Amino acid sequence: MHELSIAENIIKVVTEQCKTLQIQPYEIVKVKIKIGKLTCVSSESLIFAFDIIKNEACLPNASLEIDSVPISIHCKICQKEYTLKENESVLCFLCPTCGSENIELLSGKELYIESIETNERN
Amino acid sequence: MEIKLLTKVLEVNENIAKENRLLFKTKGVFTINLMGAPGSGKTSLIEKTVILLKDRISIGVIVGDISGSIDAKRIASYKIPVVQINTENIGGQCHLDANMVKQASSSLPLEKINVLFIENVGNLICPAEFELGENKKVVLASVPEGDDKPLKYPVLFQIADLIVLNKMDLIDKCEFQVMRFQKNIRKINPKVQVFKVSTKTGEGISQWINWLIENLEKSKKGVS
Repeated sequence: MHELSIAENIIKVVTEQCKTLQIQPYEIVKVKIKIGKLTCVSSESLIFAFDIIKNEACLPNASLEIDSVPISIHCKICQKEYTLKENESVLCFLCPTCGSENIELLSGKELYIESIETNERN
Repeated sequence: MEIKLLTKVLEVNENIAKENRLLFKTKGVFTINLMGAPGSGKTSLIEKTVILLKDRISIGVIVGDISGSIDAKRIASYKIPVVQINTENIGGQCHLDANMVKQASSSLPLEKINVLFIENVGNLICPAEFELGENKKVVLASVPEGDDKPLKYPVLFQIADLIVLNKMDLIDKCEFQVMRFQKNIRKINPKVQVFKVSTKTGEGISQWINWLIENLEKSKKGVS
């Protein structure tokens, strides 16, 4: 259940940004986040945790929108790129084309807040 | 109105981890984040290490558990500095974070410690996400857990700087195949070393001790 910690961290970042941007937290209607598949964060659990604690943080109107990012790798030997399919459960850090272990991760570790959205009044 | 942020969710944790890393470096402490499933033998590995090295280097331990101080008491019996973190007081978290380590470190005599073990909460998922400010991440697996664990919990095995396979004394009693375990690890972390040990019989422990000493020396020279 690291989703609760992650929800708390999202709320911390958003409330800090509200101060910087001089927005009232209750004006926030949406928080968009990107989550890479490698983070093992469950979207359902994260939304559940976020909805439970958002009121305490004066973010009652905010809903969490999650964009899930697939794992993709680039082989430094054959220069091919490969994106793991949605149902591909076994993670593999070997190039599926040439079998090389000399690969770099292009995406999948994302865990960041992309944007916040306020209501139309602004 | 949409406002772009592009801010890391765990930025706060990562900033504290950076502070911890700097503090440990300044005090000359080599830090290991020891992660693994409950019952894999994390405390036993620390105990074995303390027994073998306490005359040569000074060791400190931070122990993370949801509840209780069983492990801390075990380690304290070797008369070394130990701090217990109980996450039940902070929502029963299944992992340690940088702030907990920062707080715990403040009650340790860091200037007198060469190696600090941070024994994470027994879990193969959540600790992977939280940087603590450690020098090395060591993942401890054990034979009874099965050789398929690297494929079931790839993230933790993927970020490991070293993997130690414990309870080799049970290899004949389990369906575990070392070759298959190593093959599974190679798929997700091709370059990582795997040491086969038994904290009970002492088998393979010297390889682990040598690795520890070597990396401690490297960190003193600023290589690690």
